[in-house]
Formats: sequence, structure tokens, C-alpha cells
Amino acid sequence: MKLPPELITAALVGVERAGLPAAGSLPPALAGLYRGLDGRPPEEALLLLAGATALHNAAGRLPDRAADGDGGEWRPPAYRPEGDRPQCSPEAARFLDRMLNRQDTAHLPEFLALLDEAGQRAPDELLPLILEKGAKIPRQRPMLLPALGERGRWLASLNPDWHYAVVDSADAGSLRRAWATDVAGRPALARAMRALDPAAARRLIESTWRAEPDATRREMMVVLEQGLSIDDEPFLERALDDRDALTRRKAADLLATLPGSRLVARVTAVAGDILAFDGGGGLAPSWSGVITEAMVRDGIARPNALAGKSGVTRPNAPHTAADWSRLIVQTVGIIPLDHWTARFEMEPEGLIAAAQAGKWPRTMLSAFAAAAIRQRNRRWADALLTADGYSERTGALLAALEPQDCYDRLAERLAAGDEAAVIVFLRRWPHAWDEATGRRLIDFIGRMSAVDPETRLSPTLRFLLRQFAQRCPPSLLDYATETIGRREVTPLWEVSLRQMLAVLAARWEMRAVVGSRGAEEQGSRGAEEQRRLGA
Amino acid sequence: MRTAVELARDDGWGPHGCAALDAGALLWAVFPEARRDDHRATVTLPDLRAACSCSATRFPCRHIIALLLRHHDGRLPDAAPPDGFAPPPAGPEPAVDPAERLPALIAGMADLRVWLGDLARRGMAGLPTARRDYWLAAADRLVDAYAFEAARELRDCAALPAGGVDWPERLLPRLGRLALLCEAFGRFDALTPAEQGDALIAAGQPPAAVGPPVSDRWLVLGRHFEIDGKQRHERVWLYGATSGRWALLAETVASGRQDGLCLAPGATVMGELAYLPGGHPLRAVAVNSFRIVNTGEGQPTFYTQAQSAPIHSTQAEPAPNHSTQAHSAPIHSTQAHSAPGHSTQAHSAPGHSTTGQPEQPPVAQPNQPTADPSTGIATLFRRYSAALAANPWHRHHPAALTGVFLEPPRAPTGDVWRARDRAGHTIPLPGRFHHGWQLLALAADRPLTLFGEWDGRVFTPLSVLEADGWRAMAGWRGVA
Repeated sequence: MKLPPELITAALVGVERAGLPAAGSLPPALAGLYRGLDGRPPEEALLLLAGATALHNAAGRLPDRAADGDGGEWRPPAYRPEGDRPQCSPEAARFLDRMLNRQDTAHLPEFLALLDEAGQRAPDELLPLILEKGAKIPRQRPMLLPALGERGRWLASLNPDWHYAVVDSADAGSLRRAWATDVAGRPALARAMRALDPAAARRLIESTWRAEPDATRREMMVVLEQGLSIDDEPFLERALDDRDALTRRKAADLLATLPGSRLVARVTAVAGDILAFDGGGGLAPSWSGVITEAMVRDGIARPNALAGKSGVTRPNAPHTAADWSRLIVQTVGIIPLDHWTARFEMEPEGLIAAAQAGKWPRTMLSAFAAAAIRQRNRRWADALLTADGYSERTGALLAALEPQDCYDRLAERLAAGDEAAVIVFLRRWPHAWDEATGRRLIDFIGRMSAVDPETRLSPTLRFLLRQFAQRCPPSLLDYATETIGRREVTPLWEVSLRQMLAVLAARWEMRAVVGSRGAEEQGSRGAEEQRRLGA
Repeated sequence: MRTAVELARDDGWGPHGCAALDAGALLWAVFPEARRDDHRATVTLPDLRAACSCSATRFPCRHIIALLLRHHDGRLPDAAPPDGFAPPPAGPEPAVDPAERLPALIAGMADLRVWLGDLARRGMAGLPTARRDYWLAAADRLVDAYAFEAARELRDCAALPAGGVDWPERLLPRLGRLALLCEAFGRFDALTPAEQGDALIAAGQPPAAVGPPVSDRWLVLGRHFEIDGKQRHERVWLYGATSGRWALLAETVASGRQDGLCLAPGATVMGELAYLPGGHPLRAVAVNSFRIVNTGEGQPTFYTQAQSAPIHSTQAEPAPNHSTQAHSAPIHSTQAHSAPGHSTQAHSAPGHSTTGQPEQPPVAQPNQPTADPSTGIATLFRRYSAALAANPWHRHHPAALTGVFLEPPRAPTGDVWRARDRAGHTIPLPGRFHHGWQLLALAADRPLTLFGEWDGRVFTPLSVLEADGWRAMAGWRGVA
């Protein structure tokens, strides 16, 4: 109930001008009080009346009734706990709380994956924080969503900002509806759609392509990487004319991995004769063409190479070593490798040997390695790794190996005492190590940390320890503590080793806190099965 | 709390230990600080007096909580403290006798009355463009007259004219409240002791406690904490498990000070309280040190918050008779008297009850205390009306609302959270309430029991009843 308007007017204008409001404008119950204030100066009486009226209103206030408002009584949708995942243990909750509070965030993806694996969800009280994090950082949504469980999705349905969590990623219609409203979350939606139906995902991306900001278009290009096929070629070809340089480059990259694409055909046509044998039996670049606009568009030359040099006979030809190097890597890295074997009628091994004997051995090997990765050519990859002996040039090929193959090769290098090669393995293998290899690598690190004085590779190895700690199986914590934790090492090594052991310990503890509860709950409830059935 | 948990696990502690006192224990610890003096924290058990030498604005600071946590984990060695460690001060130093300050207070309130009259005569239309000094000068004069609460009220009012179109609607009741206070001080000697107590508390100069102390098991239900400039205002709400009486321990100290009683919501303490005189006595002071009561698992309940037992066990017992009388008596007495100072509210409240809503006369029904603090929204409104009738300056009303559902704001902006009880009544929550989603996540579609303060406009939840007891919301990270 509001104060009488006459009272407010009198207070605003001042009683010396407006005078006291009439008794009739006040609540009838205050009539006696009004009479009692008769002899008082009006400026005192005004505020006393205001105070009394406010008290009168406050004391007589009745609670609002829910049904009074428009829309009737609000009821939350029912929450069905039976299909939900069990909450994680309190210890795991404490871990999660720390990570959401921006501590140890490096472990968050792994921890959430562990929770997902164990079929658990975050505790009730952390659900709003997780939902809020996902709302602010759309990129983290796919990782956060499984930890929400049914209860988190129930909560998300109540808050318009959190509707991204209600979207069913296995239902194309639901994804399409969310596409219109959830602009920031489109890359994640496209990723989910791509898993369902690659062509539909591409059409969805195309539908809003022009309006997306640069950063989103770049992310969409990364999304297309998954399930890439020749059907995507026309769209990617158009993206070569995009306004954003990084998007153009990513589109060219994707087209280069499609053997049937027009881009590959164009590059083969324009630079199919870039390699030739010199007199001494070495393979070297020799190219008489000039750099054209079309080549810049295809990403194989930089725009400033077009500027030309005055006073030379061929203005747009590559001149500097950098120009040549770039041209070789970009063209040979795209042209199908079979083109060279057919053109020179030689086996890969022979061509690699010839390239090593030629004028640009390192550049040529890098180019061949790039081509082998793009075209997933195992024959060439094997030949390159054998010929070059696991150097930084061919290291990227390791990622394409089968795990067991990689472990065997590493064991062989370790046995041979080839420290430089082991460093390349440590740097380039993108997946987790298995237990036996982890054990061998820990031995290797222990040996290297004891070498005095330091070798050229020691600083690099120390730098790579952090990555190794993330990829080493945490079950090796005890072994690592025993092997390298008690050594007398230099302070530099001590810091790095302690850090590595701390990361391993944290990962081991993560598994302990997630596993302890998960085992008993899962046996009794089978919540994971229920969830699968429900989905 | 989070930082305290981490600190408790941390290894970087200085010497620390637990020494036996004559009836309890003294926990002490030194926390080394780089390039500064070490922080020294002490806690006595079981009366939970704590002190720390750090300069945190919050109390209890993380050092004190970490010390208690470590004691709880049994990780404090038995060791006598080094020299220079003293147990925390035994309590607030004796306040100056209010009677000495009374003449200055009355003169200051007369001054405020002139100031308010001046404002009303010239009109308030110019206030939105007035300088802040206009208010602060008046507030400073009130501080000089020892009317700290009235001065704070005036400073709060200073922000209103610049904050929104309906500012007269919000400002006028508060100025009116101050005018009523001036009126009461104008005829201070004619008031009853209870009314004098109310007026003194509202002005900021609480009188000495009167009457026999009430001994009970007190459930600490909520703690409100506010930092205003260099002062820390703290309200701790207690509920007597057997007497069914509410009690408010309010304190205003300099914000750098780190000593006092740390009563965490959820704990149950044993002790005696003496109530300050008033029409609706709520303010109380501790007569002796509180002692933490062990409930449940045989451990101090300072941080475990395992406290559902007292409420439910006493719920079954019939409410003791004497407390009903004790509680309702002051209300009847205020109703009955017709002292001129209270003429305003004595007129307003009963008059309203007959005209406004005959089915629920706000004062005709005395408070019906039971040992269960929880109520519905309608009962809260009724009790608030009764309290307001007994004490026109009554501001924060404690209530434990049971069976409420939270409703998120329906409009994207401008709307507020609401609580709705089973009867369909709703009550608005503060505009900036950051814990709604957390509460909703905890409750899902089940009803909640919330403890909070109702100030006639919004209900500010302070703690929530969970399966294992009351839990304070103060430490929660908010989600807007």
C-alpha cells in the first residue's frame, strides 16, 4: 500500500507552500492522531503523519497471493530423480569446487571425463556454478554437460540463460531450434550436429555463415574437420574468399586433405613440375613459373610475393630463400605423393634419398612429411621416419602411428640410447602413454636428471615434463616417486621433478575420489544404464 | 570458508598447539607472513571466544576458522603457547553508562527535529541535486550526540533521492520514522522503561539489560554481516530451544578488530541471555560465556552444522507455559498504556486492525511461541504487525519460513526472487539475491525451510535448513 499522494506532494513542495494535507486524504484510522497534532507546527506534523501512515501501512500489510499476479501460480516442472546419475563423493565435490574456483583448472577436463566415465554428476550445490561457467564460456559446454545430470538439466530449464544445457544433442530438431536462439553456442551445436549428420551440419553452418563473427567462423572450420568429405568441397571452396585470413587458411588446409578437391588439382597443375633431378642425382626445386593471384588464393604463396621486384627479369617469381621454402612446403605438401612416384618412376625410399642428397634436404623432407600426414600415407610415413630418424621435421608423423607401433619404436630408440629421438617422441605423441612405456620414460627421465653437467637436451626435457605428467598413467605415481623422487639432483631438476610428481599425485587422487563412490553406487543402481536407456 | 579450508590443509604454519585452560582449552597458532608481522590467532574452547591479529575485515577470519578446523581434525599438538599469547578478551568492555550520555542524546535528537522540520517546510523536491554533505553534516552531528543508529539511518537516506523515480515513496517513511524517534525523545521522561529502551536502541545507544537472565539452549539460526565504512555491523539471531524466544545479539565494532564470539549458524550454545528493555524484546546481551553444546556425533558443532536435533526433539514437547506469558506480556502492556509519546502508533495499530482486516487483527493475537521456530508467511506477517505495534522502530524481524518454494524472477530485468508457501502466499526476496539458484538446486521441487530477516519490504534469507541442520548462506559463491 502506498503513501497518500497528497502527503508526498506536500513533502516535495514543502509545507510552507503546500500546507498540511487534509485529514480526509489519510487513512481513517489516523483521524484521531491528526486531530491530536492540531496545535503543532505543520512542518513537524507532516513528518509525524508520514511516519504514522507508513507504520499503519506496514502493520496492516497482507502477504501477496501467488494467484493474484498474471500468469497464475508458478510451479516448477517436476524433477524426476529416478533416472538421474548419482552425485559424486564429497571429496570429489571438493575437488570440483576448487577447479570451478579457478584453481587447478588444467585438470578440469580430465576430472569431468572421469566423472562422466563413472556415471556420476556434480553435487547439487555446484550445479549453478557449472551452468554459469558454461553460459559464459560456450567452448567448455561439451565438457561440462555430462556433469550436470538430470538435476542440472532440470535447473537449466528454469533459467533462460542456461537453456543451452537443455538441448538434446542426439535430436536434430532440438539442435536446429537452439541454433536460432543460442548464437554464442553455435560451434558446440554444430559439432553435435556434425556427429549426427555431417551434411545437415554443413547446411546449418552455411545458413548463418555471413553473419557470424570472425572467431566463430574459424571455430566452424575446426568443426568441419570432423567427418570431412568431398561433399564439403563446394562450401570450403567458397570459404577461400572469406574476409578473415585465418578462416581462408583453415579452409585451404581442409581442402588440401581432400584428394579429389579442385584445390589439389589446381596446385598439381601449376606446380606439378616443381621438383627435378639435378646433375648430381639429388632432387631439387626448379620452377620457371610466376606467382599468381590464384596461388595466393589457394594459400601456397603470400600476398607480398605478388608485389614484384623492380629491375629483375621475372617480377613475380620466388626470389628469396624464404619464398622458395614456403613454395616447396606448400606445393609438395599438397600435391598427391603418388604424383612424384609416377612422374619419376621411383619408390618413396629412392625419392627421399634423392631429396636428402639434393639442394634443400630439410625443406624437402618437411614437405614430404606434411603431404604424408595430409594424405595419411603409411608407406611414405614409414619411409620418412626411417630415413630421417625421428627428427623435428618428421616428428609430426608420429601422431598418425598406431599406439602399439609408436610404443615399440620408442622402446627401440630408448634401448639404442637415442636421446634426441626420445625427446621428439615426448613432444610429438599426442595421446596418453601406456604403463610399460611410462615406466621406461620415467627411467629415462631419472637417468637424464642425474647427468652432470647438463646436456643440450636437458632444458627441453625439463620443459616437456609437465606434458609428460599429464599423459603418464597416474598409477605410476609410486614408481615415479621411488625412481626419481629421492635422487640428488640440481635445484633446476628438483623443481621440475617435484612439479611433475605433484601433477601425477593430483591425477591419482582424482581417480581415487571419483572411483571410491562410483564403484559401490553403480553396482546397486545401474544409473548409467538407466541414463543410456533414457537417452 | 574456502580459503580457511585450504589454510587448514596447508603446511606453512608457524608454531601452533592446544593448551589446557582451567575449564577448557586454548588453541593458538602463529601464521608466518612475508615481510610483515606474523598473524597470531587464539581461540578458547568451549566458549568460542576468538581473537586474531590479522587485518581481515571479516570475522571470524580464515586463521581462526583454520585453527578450529585443524583442532577438529585432531591435528593440534599439545603445547603451551609462547610468551605474548593471551586468551582472547573475555567480552566487550563495559559500555559507558547510557544515563551519562542521555542529555547529549536528547539534545541531539532535538537538533535533528529542527533539521527535519526545516526539510519538511522547504520541501524535498531539491534533494536529488543536493550535495551529500547536506546529509553527512546532519549525520555527523548525530554521531557527536551518540545517536549512532540514527546517524547511520540518515547516511542511508542520503543515497535514496538519487536512486530511482519513486524515491519519495521510499524516503518519506524513513524520515517519518526518524521524526517519530525525535518525538519520543522530546518527552523521554514520560515514557515507560520499555518504550525508553526501544527509543534508545533505535537511536543507537542501547540501554543496560534488565530482568532476570534467560537460560536456555540457544540455536544459532543466522548471522548477518555488513561492513559500512570503517564499521562492522553484525547481527546474530538465536532461538531458545526450550523457551521458544528469539534473541538478537547485535554488535557494531571497528572493522579492523578481530576478536569476539564466533557463533556460527547451525551451532547450539548453552548460556544465559539478558534482554534489553523494549516493547517487543529481541535485543539481548550474553550474561556469561556461551558453551558449545555437543549434539549428535559428539563433536563440536562449530562447522559441521549438524543441528536438526534440537528443533525436532522440542517440537514434540508441549511449549512451556511460562514462556508464553513472558513473551506476550510486553505486548499487552504496550497496548494497554496510552503514553503521549506513543500516541501515534497506539492510534494506528488497533485502528487498523479493525478497519483493514478484521479476520486477522494484527495485535489482538499475542505471539504464540512454540519451540519450533518455523512459520508460514501469513504468521510472519501477523507477528511482524504485532511487533510493530509494540515497537514502532522495530526493523528486522526474524523468521524461519517452512515449506516454501522459490520462484525465479519471471521478467529478465526488474523482477525479484520470491518465496511462496503452501498456502499460496508469496514474499519478495531482495533485488540482488545471488543464492536463489543454489537454493533451487539444493531443493529441486521439494519445499525449503529458510531462516531470514523480514524488514517489511523484503525477506533476506540468511540460512537454510538441510537434512543435517542449518547452513549459512554467507559463504556461498553467488550466481546472479
